[in-house]
Amino acid sequence: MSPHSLSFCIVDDDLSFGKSLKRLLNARGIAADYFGSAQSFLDCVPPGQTGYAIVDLHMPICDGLGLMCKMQEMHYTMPVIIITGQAQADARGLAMQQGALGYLQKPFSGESLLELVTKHEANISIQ
Amino acid sequence: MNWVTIIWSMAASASFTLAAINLLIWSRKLKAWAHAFFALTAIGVALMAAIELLMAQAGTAGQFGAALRWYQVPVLMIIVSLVGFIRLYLRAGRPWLAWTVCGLRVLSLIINFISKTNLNYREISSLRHIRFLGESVSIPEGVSNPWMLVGQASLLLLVVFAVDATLTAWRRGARRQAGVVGGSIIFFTLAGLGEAILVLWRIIPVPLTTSFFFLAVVGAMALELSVDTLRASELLEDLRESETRVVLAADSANVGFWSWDFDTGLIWATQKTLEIYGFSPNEKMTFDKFLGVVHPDDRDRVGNDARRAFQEAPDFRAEYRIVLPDKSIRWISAQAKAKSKPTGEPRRMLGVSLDITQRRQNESEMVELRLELAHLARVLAISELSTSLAHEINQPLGAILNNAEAAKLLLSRDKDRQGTISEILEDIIQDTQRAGDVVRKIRGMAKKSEAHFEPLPVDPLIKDVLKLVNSTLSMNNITLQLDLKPDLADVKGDRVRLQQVLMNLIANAIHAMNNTPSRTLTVRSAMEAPDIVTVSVSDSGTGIDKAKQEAVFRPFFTTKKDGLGFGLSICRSIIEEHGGRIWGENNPTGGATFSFSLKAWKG
Repeated sequence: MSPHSLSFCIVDDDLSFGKSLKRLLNARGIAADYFGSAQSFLDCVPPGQTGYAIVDLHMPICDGLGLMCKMQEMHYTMPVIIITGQAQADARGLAMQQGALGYLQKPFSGESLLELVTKHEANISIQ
Repeated sequence: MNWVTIIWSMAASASFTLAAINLLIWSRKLKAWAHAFFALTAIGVALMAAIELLMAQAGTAGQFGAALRWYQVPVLMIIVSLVGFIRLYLRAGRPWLAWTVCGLRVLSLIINFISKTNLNYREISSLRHIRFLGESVSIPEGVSNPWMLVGQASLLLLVVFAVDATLTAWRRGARRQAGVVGGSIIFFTLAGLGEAILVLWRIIPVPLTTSFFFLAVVGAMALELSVDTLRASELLEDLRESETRVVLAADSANVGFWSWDFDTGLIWATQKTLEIYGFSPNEKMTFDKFLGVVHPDDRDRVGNDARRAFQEAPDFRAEYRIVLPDKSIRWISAQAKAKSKPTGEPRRMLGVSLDITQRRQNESEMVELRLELAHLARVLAISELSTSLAHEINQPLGAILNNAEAAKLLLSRDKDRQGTISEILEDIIQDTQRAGDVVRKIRGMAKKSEAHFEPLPVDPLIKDVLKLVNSTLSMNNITLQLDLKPDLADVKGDRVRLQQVLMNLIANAIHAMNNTPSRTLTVRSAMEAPDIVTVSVSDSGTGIDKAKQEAVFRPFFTTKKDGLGFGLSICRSIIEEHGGRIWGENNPTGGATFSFSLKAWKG
């Protein structure tokens, strides 16, 4: 599996963080798009698209878990990784329970993000 | 048996008896000088009667003369004591007249004792025996002493003094005393004087019977004094009755009533008092026994304060603990007033005691609850603050990390500048990670204490918090309305945290009504669904700004000038921790309602 076949959608209301993550992934040669809200993601990305969604937990109007719900309703196949700046004890559990691929607390390194993805890809190829 | 002996002996003994009774009264109540003067008069009359009897039965002229000489002593006693009695009892009479009467009488006594025979006779040559009341009595033959005029003048002056005093008392309105005491003194002194003149100037040949005239005066005085004594005993009766009323009132108010005598150390106490202090009924209470019951930690303080109240301050006031026979501890509040003797020495202390254990318990429970809530509020505020800090700091830290990593990756392709810049960037990465660690550590330190969930009835929870805010409500003229549904299911909750939520919601409601004329706080409880209990707090205040409806629950959001903006955000954290929901909305009629719903406890 080559990193170049990977692609990410970043959904975060914090512009500075979103931009930096996109830049990091791009620097690694991975395609990434940035969306400032859940709605703009839903508007631009069709349900059938491959890749991974990196979604911030705390966003106004529709938060990370809310977006995950909608994506499931609309049959998105994209796995979701929840990221957050807040250390909420039960948030990880909730996110994983709702079917998130992973849960990362900011700040996190690019390595830890890619590790999650690599593991997932490996699982798929075994199947 | 002869009549003269019988009558005079009876007169003497009757007078002695009256004197004894009044001396006894005077010895108990040293201020009762009227009784002392009366006793002196009565003794004088008794002596007078005895000497008259001696004279009547005298065998020789010498015996008669000597007896008549000693006769002057009781006369002086009677006159001086009558003057004193009139002054004291009628509270009237000119002092100069009083002194003149007494002076003349003393002068008479002196003349009496320096004369050859006595005041009345220059010499007694012989005795004559005459029949009197069927008995042979002695009367003297001899030469009258002109100096006896001095004595008779003193008697006349006594009459003048008595008339003046009687009129004054009569005009003042003390008519009975004036009539009985003054009238009888005037009348019988005049009669006695008349008889003395007739007998001693040898105009009529009868023995002296002056003692009987003064016996009549003594009788009148005794009558008056006994009326007074009777009235005193009636007063005593009234006093007892009013004391009984006071004790009854005290008993019904659960107040113990006591009186501590300093000299004997005994404490008279009502049954209620004995009950309060755990003594058996009718047990004799002493100050030492009382101190024995006081809690060892309070004993010295109470003992010293009480003794000091006796010596210095008349008021004693103390709250202290006592230990009952069953080892239970009660709180007592005592208040007392010390009375001292006229000499300034402590006499007794009158006081009341009240068992205030219940009040003290309520107070201490309130204090504890307040402390617990205040502590939790601080802990939660710190926790909330650090949570927010974490979020605010982690966000940029995350961005820095991403950027640094990206830059490092990009630079790794530019072989020339690789060394230095990648080192710098590596440092940035490490520092950033360290910053993240610091935040994580702070977060760890300020970890919330564990919530303790138990089945919790909502009603007492609401009422406990209302107890705390009741005074604030009345101070702010806020009407409280309760709409609590009965038979609500218990919720799954942490008592103190939920109290904190209610406290915050009510405090906000009170604050929201600061500037509104109608102020009503409504607290409701209801079952929303079979397993959901909802509690809501409504105010008639300014309501929530539409644009800020979402923001009110965020940390740092506040409409108060001195608010930190944690109240509602803490409430939300707590309710979410409970797996419940909290929300705010505006009332159709004005003001806002904040509600939270909790899951019912499932055994």
